[in-house]
Amino acid sequence: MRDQALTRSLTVGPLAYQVRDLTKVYRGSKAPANDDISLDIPAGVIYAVLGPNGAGKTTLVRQLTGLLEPTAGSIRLFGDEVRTKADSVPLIVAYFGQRLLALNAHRFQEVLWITGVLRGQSPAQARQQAVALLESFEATDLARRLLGQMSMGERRLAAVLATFMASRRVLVLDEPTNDLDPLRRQRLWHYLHECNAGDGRTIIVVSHNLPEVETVAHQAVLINQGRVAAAGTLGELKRAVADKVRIELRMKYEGPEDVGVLSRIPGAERARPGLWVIPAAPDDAPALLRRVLDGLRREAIDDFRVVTPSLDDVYLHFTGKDVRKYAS
Amino acid sequence: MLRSSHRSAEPAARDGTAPAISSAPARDRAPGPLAFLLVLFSEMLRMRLDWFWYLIQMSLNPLALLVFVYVLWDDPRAAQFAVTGSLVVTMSTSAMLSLGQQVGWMKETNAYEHYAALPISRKLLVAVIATRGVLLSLPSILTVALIGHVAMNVRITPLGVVILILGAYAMSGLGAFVGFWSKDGRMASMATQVLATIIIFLAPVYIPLEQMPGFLRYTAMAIPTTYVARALRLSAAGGGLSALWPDLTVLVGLALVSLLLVPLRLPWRRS
Repeated sequence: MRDQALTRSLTVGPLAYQVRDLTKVYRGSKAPANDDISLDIPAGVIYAVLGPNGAGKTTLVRQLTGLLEPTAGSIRLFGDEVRTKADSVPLIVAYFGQRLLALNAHRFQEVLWITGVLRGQSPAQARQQAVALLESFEATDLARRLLGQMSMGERRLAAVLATFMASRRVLVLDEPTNDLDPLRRQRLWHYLHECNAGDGRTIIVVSHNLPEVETVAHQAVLINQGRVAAAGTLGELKRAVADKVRIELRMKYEGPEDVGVLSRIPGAERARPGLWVIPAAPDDAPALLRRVLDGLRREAIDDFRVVTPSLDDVYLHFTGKDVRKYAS
Repeated sequence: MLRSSHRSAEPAARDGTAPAISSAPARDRAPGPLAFLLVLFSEMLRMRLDWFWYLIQMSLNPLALLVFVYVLWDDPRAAQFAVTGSLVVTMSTSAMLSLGQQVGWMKETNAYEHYAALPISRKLLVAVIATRGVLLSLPSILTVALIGHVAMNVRITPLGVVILILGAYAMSGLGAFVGFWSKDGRMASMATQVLATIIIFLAPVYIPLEQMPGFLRYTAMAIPTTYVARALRLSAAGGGLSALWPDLTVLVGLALVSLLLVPLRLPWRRS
């Protein structure tokens, strides 16, 4: 279903967003937060915006939602210039920002209901959707609690669910899974997939959680230092690093002789104590793995695997930052 | 033109021209009056936790000044000036000082962006927070008016209430302007307190215009509270529309500027 939706969007679908030469320089700053960014976001896809902290991702999505004025360049939303029609953007786009709602004295269900009615739902429709969302995210026990008395994750959930009220054509979510517990995080990604697959909604999501993004996103842009480092379908992005499979080796013990063997393999790197990463060409990987296993003491090896390119590798390739070093 | 596909309840075919929204609502935004009431309701909910202290803040200053002026000013008009002056202070506190601080605080805490991302207009938001100020000032206004009526025999007419409400909306533009242009809540708080001193003590709120120093008589004409206080005193003295129309005209003009023109200049979306 995901592939069908993607194929349709890429072949016959219109663009949700067309961004051209977008530059944003904040007042008092010399370095641009966004520098000459051009990208197309087809309607009906899940589009991931990736990049290191401070890369300019939030600046980009705030401009897409009309909340921030670009310094130069153009953003077209379904063909219309956002800069001149910024007041109409909320009719199409629902936005969840990184900064949480300051509605401490509101109950969870009030936030959803008010948002839904302001977006044009009848009070009954809004109540119905709010109840459905609360049930879907197993949050009915939170319905009547005040946001000010909730944990950060629960408050974030309220803000995220408010984004879903009244089913806008485009959802823009800036790091929606931060602070959420694993169950709700998983549910959220599943819900985004459902929204896209069922209703064809365009979903733009900023996230640092690459393995989770990889399971739902059709396309991605990688922003680094305010510029587009890479953009395309996940397949296209991964093909840029297709020649780089890797062997991951977990060691129970790292005796001098084991370290000696591993150190002699070109490119082998001790990512952290007990974890060695060895890059390999896809065709050479089996033979190289055999050689490594034969060279090491059997009792020293805990586990091993051959890993094909992931978003982590794409991220590493285009930003030079290795997320695997800190992965569990 | 940007438009939503939500107008049709029919699930549109997924032909690539527009994503179908199967659970689409019939409209894409709440009608104006409903949106106004909803945002007002939402803003009033903010008072759920600290309404008591808010009322104390709104009431204490005007009540203290009421007693202070009445007791210390040795003039037959003391009662009238004490009551009308305190009512103007109450109105100014809610419409300008609190509103400016509220808007600055909204900016700081992201509530402002929350509304900017929803399909409501700047004008609606300014009208809501001005109305919120008026509503929150009502208990204090009623208290001062009641004390004035019972203890000092100063009668506030229905026209006087209209003048106060009109004055509140006239002042709201100033509060909104300060709040929106302040960097954060702290700066808005300081700026509004400076302004509060100017609009209360550099205008003929507690004393007659003719008793003010010469140059202040001219600068006072640029301060909205001058017109509110003068109209209120005239109405308390039994004056009708024929006597009040010059002040009312100024206040209506300022209210229109506050509610219609000031929002157009507000940085709704940031540069």
